[in-house]
Amino acid sequence: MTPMTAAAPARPRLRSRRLLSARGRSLEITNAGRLFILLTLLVGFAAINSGSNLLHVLFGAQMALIIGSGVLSEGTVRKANARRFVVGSLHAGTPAPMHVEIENTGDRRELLSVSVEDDDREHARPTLRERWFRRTPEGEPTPHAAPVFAVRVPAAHSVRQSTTVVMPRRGRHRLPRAVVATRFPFGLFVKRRELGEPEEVIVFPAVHPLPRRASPVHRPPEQRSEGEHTGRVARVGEFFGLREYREGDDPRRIHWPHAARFAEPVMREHEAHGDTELVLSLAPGRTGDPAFEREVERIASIAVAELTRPGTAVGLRVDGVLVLPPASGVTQRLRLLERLALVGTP
Amino acid sequence: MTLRQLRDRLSVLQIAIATATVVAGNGVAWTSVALAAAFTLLAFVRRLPPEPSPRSQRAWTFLVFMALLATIARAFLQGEFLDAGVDFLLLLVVQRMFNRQRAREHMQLLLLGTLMLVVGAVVNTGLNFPILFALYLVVAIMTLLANHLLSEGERLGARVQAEVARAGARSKTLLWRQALQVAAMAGVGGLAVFLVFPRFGVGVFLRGAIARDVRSGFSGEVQLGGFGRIKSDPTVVARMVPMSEVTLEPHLTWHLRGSSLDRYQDGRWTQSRASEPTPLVSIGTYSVLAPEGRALGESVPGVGARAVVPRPIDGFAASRDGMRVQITLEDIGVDAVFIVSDPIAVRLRPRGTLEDRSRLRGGFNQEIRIDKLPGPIQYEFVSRTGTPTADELRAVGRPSTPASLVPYLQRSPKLSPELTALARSLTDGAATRYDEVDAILRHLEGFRYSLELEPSARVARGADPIEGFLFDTKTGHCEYFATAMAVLLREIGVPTRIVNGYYGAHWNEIGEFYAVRQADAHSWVEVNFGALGWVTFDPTPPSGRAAGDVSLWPALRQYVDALRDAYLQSVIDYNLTKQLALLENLGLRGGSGGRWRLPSWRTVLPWAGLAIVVAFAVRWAWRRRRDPVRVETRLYRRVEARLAARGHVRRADESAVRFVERVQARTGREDGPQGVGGDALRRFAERYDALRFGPAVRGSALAELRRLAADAIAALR
Repeated sequence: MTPMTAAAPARPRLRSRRLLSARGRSLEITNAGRLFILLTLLVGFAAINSGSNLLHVLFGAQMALIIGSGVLSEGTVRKANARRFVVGSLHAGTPAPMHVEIENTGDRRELLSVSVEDDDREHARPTLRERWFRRTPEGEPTPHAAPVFAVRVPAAHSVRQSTTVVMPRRGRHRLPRAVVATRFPFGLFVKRRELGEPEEVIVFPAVHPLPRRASPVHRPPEQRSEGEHTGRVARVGEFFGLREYREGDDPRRIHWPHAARFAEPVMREHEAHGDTELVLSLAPGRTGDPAFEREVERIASIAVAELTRPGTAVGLRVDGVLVLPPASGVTQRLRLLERLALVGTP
Repeated sequence: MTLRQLRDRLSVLQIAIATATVVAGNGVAWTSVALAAAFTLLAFVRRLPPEPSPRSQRAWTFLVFMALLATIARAFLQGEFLDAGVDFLLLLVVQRMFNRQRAREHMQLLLLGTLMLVVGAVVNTGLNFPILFALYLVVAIMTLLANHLLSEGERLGARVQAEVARAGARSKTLLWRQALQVAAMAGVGGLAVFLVFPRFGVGVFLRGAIARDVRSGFSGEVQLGGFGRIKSDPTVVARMVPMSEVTLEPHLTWHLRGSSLDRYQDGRWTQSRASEPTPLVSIGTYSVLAPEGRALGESVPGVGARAVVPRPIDGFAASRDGMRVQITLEDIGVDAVFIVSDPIAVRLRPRGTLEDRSRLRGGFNQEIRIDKLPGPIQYEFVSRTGTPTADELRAVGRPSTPASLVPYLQRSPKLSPELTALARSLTDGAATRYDEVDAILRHLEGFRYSLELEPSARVARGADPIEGFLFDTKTGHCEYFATAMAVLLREIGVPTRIVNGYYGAHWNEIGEFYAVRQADAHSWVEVNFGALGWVTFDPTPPSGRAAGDVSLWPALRQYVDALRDAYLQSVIDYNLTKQLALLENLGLRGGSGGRWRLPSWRTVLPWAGLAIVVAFAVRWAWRRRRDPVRVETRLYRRVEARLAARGHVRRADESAVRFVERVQARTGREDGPQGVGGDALRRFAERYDALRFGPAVRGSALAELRRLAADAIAALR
């Protein structure tokens, strides 16, 4: 398998709403912020025009609020860091759980109102006309993660929030580019700081629930595809490795020497063939071809469904070549999905 | 209280504070405020629907549109820019209060609050403004913080909304602390701009005066008995600082002239307008009264074109005696300019572009009136302080009455012949006008001064109130005395008019000015003496003229008045000249040349030193706040320092007990059987270890440790 180099996503030209964008920071004025600035300018004009001292005080206070807002939000985004962990498998087009850990790197001040959001510069923003006529631009679906928000993060602490991420296409991709953002303290400005280069993940094909009759195991031999066959195999196959005990595991498969050493049950795993053996065959194709993508999803769905059946071993043949010999278990499921995630990519 | 409830209450509170700044500056009618408050309260207590219904939205849109049209009409047709604008803002507040489901509506309420505060900053020059402003800053910033968190919930979806509701409720103390910090920051910003931002006062787009309600008493008419309610009001209406050499006394007896009325009928004084208003002529920068085209003052040769003194009058030796006084007149809702009798000239001393737009004009009966924007005004006046002697007045004899003085002989047809008979009997045998006046004054001396008016059967039957005073009750206040004198003199053909204003002033030692209070409101009479002009007579008994100390705490009142005066001088009156003076004091600007220069090191050094000290103090306080030293640790450090002074230093890995054991083991021979510190030191160390690393410390345990520490330190001496 050849590792893929993720191409840097094309960034649309920045529109005027981002006032500053340097060193991974950006500043945006919200609608409320625009109104506040306009009001401040008007008060300033009235103060200069009338010479009224109290209007000067008011103008100064408003200016201080604008500057203070910038200072506080800068302090927040500078000291906020975030890490994201995808929990479990990531299937194309399916929301997958993700943990986001927001960390306060400062050791004195608590952080307030921090969010971790997708960097919306990744996506083309609707034009004024589109916004005016409430038309949303149509285009390719893009990866996105639901934003997370922490009201407060104590000094030198971190808080963990749960969210979901959706990757639209299978393959090796980077998670959506994310920013630490804050509108603190007043919601007049949005200050963002880019997080580091997003990590690379393998997105498995989408898996759909299958009707019972769709399973080749339950079809008569004449209806099965080329390479699909079933047969009785040995109960215990080649030794594969060790893993921690999970509830429901057969105690007879505990690896006692390791269990004694670590004082907790450790399970033996074997590349055991199941009672039924199934080799799924995938015709060659290229990523992005709708027919090929549908076929990959179908194969993946069958594989996942069959591997959940006790005693069923599933293998994969691509373009007539057996790329994965039949086996059962969680590891085989992951191998199959990974192979299907990357199949057809250059 | 949830964050949402807190935001709701704060939204209303910030609007209330902002409106209070306008109300305190008389910038809005009470009826409008009461109506808006009632509807706001209704909107606040009613259950808020999850979404505003389209029907109600349409109704509100229609109402706001109509109100906008009405506001434009009021502003441009009636000139009520301020009142109309504030009323419209109040309507918008009510409209938003009825539909405040989302964060954006609360943001709009905050915007309306800020606009209201802007109006307050224009119309309110009271001492209450800085207090209300500080309060507004804290409340509005806290509202912004709470609203911001809730808006993030709205923006990011239900999951974040739940998180905000959960964590927000627990973070209120933190939010308040943040709000206070940001408010302090905003306050410093406001102060900095106030101090150093140059005052240009460009004055573009400023238009004429704003229409105001005129307070009864100094307008074109007065109902007899109107002064009673303000005779107990200690509010300071004017502050006077004599500019020429006068003998300063704690209580002045000046008659501060406001309005003058010449027509009396049915217990009501009005201005007949039978004569032309007294014109004003300019002499230098002064506006000088010029009745019948002849200025009452003249510039003094050699003193300078700007100095004006009273014009001399033949047969009146003290006619040139005059004085100059600077006066700051509060906005009491009148257009009268108050000047000590006899008024000669006025010069405005505007303190900004807004005040610079004030215009003086001559009123009737030698009044001076002003067209101005709301707020206090400052001016300087020249008065004739000299009064003609009795002999000089007698020398006038009985001057003829020219046609121009006929309006001052007007007689109410309702007055009975009995009054004419009384006037004639009183002045029977008087050879001159002064003798006639004197006779009537002597007659009124026997009357009693009182604010409590007794009912008169005669008046109840329909007679003029002044007849009840003269024939029945013989009790009344200044208006009755002045009216009685005026009508009696008119009965015998003496031109008179009544004057309303203030009598006397009280020296404020703290602020070093004379304070004139609302309670000093007074009425008196002016009698025409031909070539000598109008002469002031006060028939009210002296005990009834001055109000005395009507304040419950006169000393406190003095402080408040002085503070108010300082506020006017230092804040409202702060201008470019004072800014430049401040820069000169800081050594940033040359005094005479007015050129900017780099400050010398002698100037910079103290300030830099102060800045460093303040920075260290702030840093120390900050660290102390962030990392407070526990009481038991402080006590231990003291004991440790005492041991260190004796050469025993604790190792980093030693507990208190282990350290003491080691030290005492080493010093056992020299310092007694138990070693240095003895039993007291050991007991302290054991107790300290137990408290410092044991369960939570209670007050009684700390007290015991404190005692043990004292014993240990004593043992170590």
